[in-house]
Amino acid sequence: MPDQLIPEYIQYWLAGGWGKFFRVFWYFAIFEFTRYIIIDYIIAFIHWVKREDYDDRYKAGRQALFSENPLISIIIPGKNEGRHLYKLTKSLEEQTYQNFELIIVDDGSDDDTPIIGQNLEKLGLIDKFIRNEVRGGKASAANLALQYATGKFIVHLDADCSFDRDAIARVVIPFYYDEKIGAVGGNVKVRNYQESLCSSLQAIEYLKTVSVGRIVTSTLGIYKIVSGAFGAFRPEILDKIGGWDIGPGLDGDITVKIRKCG
Amino acid sequence: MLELAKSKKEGRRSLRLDGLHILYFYHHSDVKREDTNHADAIVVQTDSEFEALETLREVRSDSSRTISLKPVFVSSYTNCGENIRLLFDGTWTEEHPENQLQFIRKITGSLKNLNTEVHELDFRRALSQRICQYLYSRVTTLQPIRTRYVNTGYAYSFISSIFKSSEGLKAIDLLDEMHQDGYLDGQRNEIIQSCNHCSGGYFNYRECCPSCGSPDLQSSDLIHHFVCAHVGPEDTFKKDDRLECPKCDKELRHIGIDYDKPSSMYTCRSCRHQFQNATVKALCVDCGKDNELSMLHTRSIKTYSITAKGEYLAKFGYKGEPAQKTEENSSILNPEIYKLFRKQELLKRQTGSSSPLFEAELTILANVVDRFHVERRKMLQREICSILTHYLEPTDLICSENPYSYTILICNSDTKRAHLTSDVINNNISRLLADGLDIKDQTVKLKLTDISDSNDNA
Repeated sequence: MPDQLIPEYIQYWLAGGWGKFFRVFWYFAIFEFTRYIIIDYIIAFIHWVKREDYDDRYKAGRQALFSENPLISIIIPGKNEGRHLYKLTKSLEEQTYQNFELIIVDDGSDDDTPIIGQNLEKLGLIDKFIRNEVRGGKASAANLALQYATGKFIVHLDADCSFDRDAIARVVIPFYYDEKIGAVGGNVKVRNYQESLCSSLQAIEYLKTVSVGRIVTSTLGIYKIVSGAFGAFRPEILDKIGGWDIGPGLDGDITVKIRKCG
Repeated sequence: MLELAKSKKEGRRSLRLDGLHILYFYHHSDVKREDTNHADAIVVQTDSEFEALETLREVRSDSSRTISLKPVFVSSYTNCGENIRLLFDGTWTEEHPENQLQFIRKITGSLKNLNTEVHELDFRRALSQRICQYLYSRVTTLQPIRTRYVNTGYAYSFISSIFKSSEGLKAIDLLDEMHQDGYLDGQRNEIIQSCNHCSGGYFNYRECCPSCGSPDLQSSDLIHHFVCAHVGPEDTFKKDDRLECPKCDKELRHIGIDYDKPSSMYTCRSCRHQFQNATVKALCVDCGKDNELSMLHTRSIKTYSITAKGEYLAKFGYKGEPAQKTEENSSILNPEIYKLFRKQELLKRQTGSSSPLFEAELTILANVVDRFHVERRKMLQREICSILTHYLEPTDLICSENPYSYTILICNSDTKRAHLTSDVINNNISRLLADGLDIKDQTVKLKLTDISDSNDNA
């Protein structure tokens, strides 16, 4: 009778024993467990040990940013993103760092995006709204925005994201740590993770690959993707490499190219 | 058949045809010099276009109805421009005047039925009656005629003689007012836009920089290279006669295969601002002021015909109608009455009334009001006054002389309520103007003062 209460798949593994479990999942135990669990904990431990150094460095970087107060160009390429634009501008209005220009490229939208964008530009909520009649892809739209960006740093965002109040400041502060830093990847999280099973699973994946994964790879010096949803770049580096290349995998490509530049 | 009686005296000639007395004018001074009352019709006989126009104006704008409404012809050899055509009833040929004579008889017959006692009327009412009499006697309509001689671009026969060429909109206003009063029927033919500052209708429309307003713009196509996703102005791709991508150095040969042109950008040569959507502005040819398209004054151009009420006005005058229209804003006091009430309220406070007395000065900034056409400014004034009356108590007083400033006397509110009311008024009017006019800057100033202890009774 108690056997009937235990789910069948657990009974299966209980019957098979640890030997069978290890034979089936040996790659997880050797590679994945090492890669995702052990290294993560080691890095987390290093972070904890060095937390005061990190804090001091962050404070110095923040002070440098706010004393210099450079213009930051926020570029947002997108198609049919009109409905997100107003919310996005409001989210950016709340930022602790305010000296930025907002350039939005409408990449051949076939909805009301051009009307919304042009109205927001008239209202002064967007600094430059550029409309492409023909869709050219995300890379070309980002490159077009780059043409008209005049800021000291370029922040690339997705229109359907919303941002913490200090997100823009935080993503550009690392440029003040070291002049050799050419790009900074932001931490992207799923805000509506409680909405559905899919969004919950996506949140777990983002936590693993973006939040934790990229902190780990960054600490190890092997950071390989500056997310298009939230990333910052030095414009001179982007000029040198000619901006984004045609996708897919354009975020990874540009990161690798920046790393190759030294 | 024709009884001819010519008399020549200093170039004047009169003619009797079939019992009708035709008077000839050679010079515009003849209108004042000659006794025109007994003539049945007037013929302007000159080969000078200027002289013909001046003479016609003198006749049509004469204060006497019996003269201004007379049938007027211009001799067939006079060079008639479109502005002259607006003022006469036809051309005159002595060889075959039968049609003209018939026309004269018809008009003189109609004119006999009309009331020409107009001395007690103000200018607008007298003119309205005269227009009705003109339409009644000619059995015609007032049709808009495209002309360069009037600043709005449209003129009406007969009344063009009364208004100057720069007062085209005044003529339209008068006709619209008559339409509203039921004397005329109006059927829309056209829509015109006029300058906010001078009512002129001639514009130079041009694309301007949204940042500095300069029309010195340069347009450049953007090129998108498919292979490397590089996008930039066409100039940066040009190398001699070829197009070469500055990012990957590849030659662009075929549009649609190697590259496309997704959009274009303007660059302002004055301030270097780059943008896609230029602001279209209308430069008034007459006064030289720039108008935003949304702020142009739009009016309908109609064909007007006389109504039964108009015919009654033509025949019998303003019998039984009030002499003046009553002021629409009865709740708005003029400064003299306001001062009187203010003085009374101050005296009440000095003799023991406990409630405080507040005076609020509301000022609409000049750059906001000046964006409107003169007519619209009056509408704005009415609109603001209606907002004020909505939020104020019935015992409070409002005084406004112009659309820029409003003085409010808050009589029966305590300090807290007076401040609250003034804040609400300030917020609502500011928001109304800011939203309606798309202005980000401050539009309204409101200063509230407690004048309970004031000795100023002025």
